[in-house]
Amino acid sequence: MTAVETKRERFVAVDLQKTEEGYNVLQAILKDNPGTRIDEFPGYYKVKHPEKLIIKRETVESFMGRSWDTQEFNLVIISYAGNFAEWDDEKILIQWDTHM
Amino acid sequence: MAKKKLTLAQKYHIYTRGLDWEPTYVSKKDIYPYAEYEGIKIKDWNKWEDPFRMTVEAYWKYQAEKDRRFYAILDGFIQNQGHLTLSDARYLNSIKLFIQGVTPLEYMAHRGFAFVARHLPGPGPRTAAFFQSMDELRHTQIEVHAASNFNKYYDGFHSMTHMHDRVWYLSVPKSYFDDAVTAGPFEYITAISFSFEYALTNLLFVPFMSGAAYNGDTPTMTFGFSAQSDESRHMTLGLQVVKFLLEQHEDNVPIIQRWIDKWWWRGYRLTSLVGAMMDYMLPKRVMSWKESFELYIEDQILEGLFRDLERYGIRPPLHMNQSIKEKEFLSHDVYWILFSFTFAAAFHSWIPKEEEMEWLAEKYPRTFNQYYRWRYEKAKEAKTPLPGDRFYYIGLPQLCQVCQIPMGFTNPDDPNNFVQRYVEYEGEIYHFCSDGCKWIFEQEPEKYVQAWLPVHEIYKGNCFAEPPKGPDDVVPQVLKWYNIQTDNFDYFVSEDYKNWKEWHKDMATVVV
Ligand SMILES: [Fe+2]
Ligand SMILES: [Fe+2]
Repeated sequence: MTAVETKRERFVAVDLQKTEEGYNVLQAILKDNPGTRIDEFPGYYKVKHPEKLIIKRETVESFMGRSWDTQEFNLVIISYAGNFAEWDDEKILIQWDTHM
Repeated sequence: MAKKKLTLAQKYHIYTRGLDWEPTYVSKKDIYPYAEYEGIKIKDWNKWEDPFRMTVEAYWKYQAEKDRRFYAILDGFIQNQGHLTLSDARYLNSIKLFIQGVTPLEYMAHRGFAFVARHLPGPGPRTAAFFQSMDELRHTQIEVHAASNFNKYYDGFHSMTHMHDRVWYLSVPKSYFDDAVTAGPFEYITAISFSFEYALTNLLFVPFMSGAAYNGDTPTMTFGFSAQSDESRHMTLGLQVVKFLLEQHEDNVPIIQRWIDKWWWRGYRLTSLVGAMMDYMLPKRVMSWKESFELYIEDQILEGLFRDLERYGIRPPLHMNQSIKEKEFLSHDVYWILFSFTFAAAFHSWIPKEEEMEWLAEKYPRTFNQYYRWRYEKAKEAKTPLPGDRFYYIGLPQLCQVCQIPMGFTNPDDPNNFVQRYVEYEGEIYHFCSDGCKWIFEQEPEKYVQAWLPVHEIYKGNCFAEPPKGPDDVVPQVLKWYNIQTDNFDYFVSEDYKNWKEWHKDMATVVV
């Protein structure tokens, strides 16, 4: 076994485009996921949470002011860390330690 | 009464599994001839599920929307003469490396995933691989379109595929992908979808693209983020395939581990080029290589992903510790290599400006001033007869047999020395830049002895436009064969620099 030494932290993350839609999704994430941290970089937001991130259709719609399909998440996501534990019509859940 | 809408999960099942059928007059073995020889054992393909639940219908819809957004931004940039508002024309040298080195790999990925989409026996991963094959073709196209605008004004963009097959530093990405596509379908998907896309592409497509945005290059940022948004789907494919294979049979575990060990180091060495681009070629910088490595590799991959994989008996890649040790050296070593051999490259390099050296010293407090700054101070004095008031390494470097990068990697445990390793195999000596590359060679020597090494090929006489008329004509004939015209040498003696100054003499041409 190779023990790998890091003194780093564990979190789940999504990297979102810094666009109007990305901003609305970000607002929804902040509302539904207390404890979320955001790092801002040119062109994108890095959204981190120590355990999990949930994106709810209803909350996103309330910020968008229109109906929103969870598959539209494909248009704002750049990258992520974690697993897509659930992805259905109502919500997307990203966390580690999931089984198939 | 209106028909009830199908849920996402139902739609996914109907449009993927529902379209598959059991063959009756041809055996499965004949249909999928590559499914078994790698030793991977699958009991039940139906256990595989795509968390993105992507169907063909949704695929076209969202991909078309991504393209519309990209082309709108590209058109705006072109109409606005956006290239004149970049931070500095030096910036474009990183994009030349990208277009020559990465874009042809997108095309290779398109081919690789078409192969996998044909040859995996399960309908779920076959569908996902088919989407990815189309994604990769799209990436090639949007990158070529973005580059074609720069090609009107700058050197280094005119001959990417021709160069990709010939030029010394481009054999690094080329040999990497050739290695992957000549493996079986399971190794290929572990190499590319898992090791490269889940772990390493983030470094290229997120912090580097953010750097593109910061330097005023919105088309590159947009194609980067647009590609990486597909990449999220690819990452999922990689992760699901690996977890699926690990769950299917315990005999798969050591095979997957060996592939992870191999492809971590292969991909990491390839990504070292991105380190040089980030730390040296972006006039305005967002994040250092080291910071990106800590965030995207140490946090997300080691603390995140590999903790998740422990339960399957998978450990972090062999040689990961070496990558961590190298994080304060890597980008400096690679830029120095690119800088030294710029007389034979289709991009320009330069001595970092004083304020840039200060940034490097601040980001790399243990290494930059100690081991690298003096090289550039000497480079100002050690002039050669070549254009540009500075040092070039006149000669050809020894290349690593596996990664094909010139052997100039500092030993972090002994920073005044480079790492040099070798293996004797069937009476020949082969050289390596690292223990990682040496280990990879030892696993499959019969594969890597066949490597097409650009320096060896020059010495063999295989890389001349016409036979050289004498020793002074050797490099010119190689450059001609590469189709390098005015693309090489120091930035400050380049056409790019001359034009850039000319275009900015009269600010009225800049402000639109
Ligand atoms: Fe791609
Ligand atoms: Fe190497």
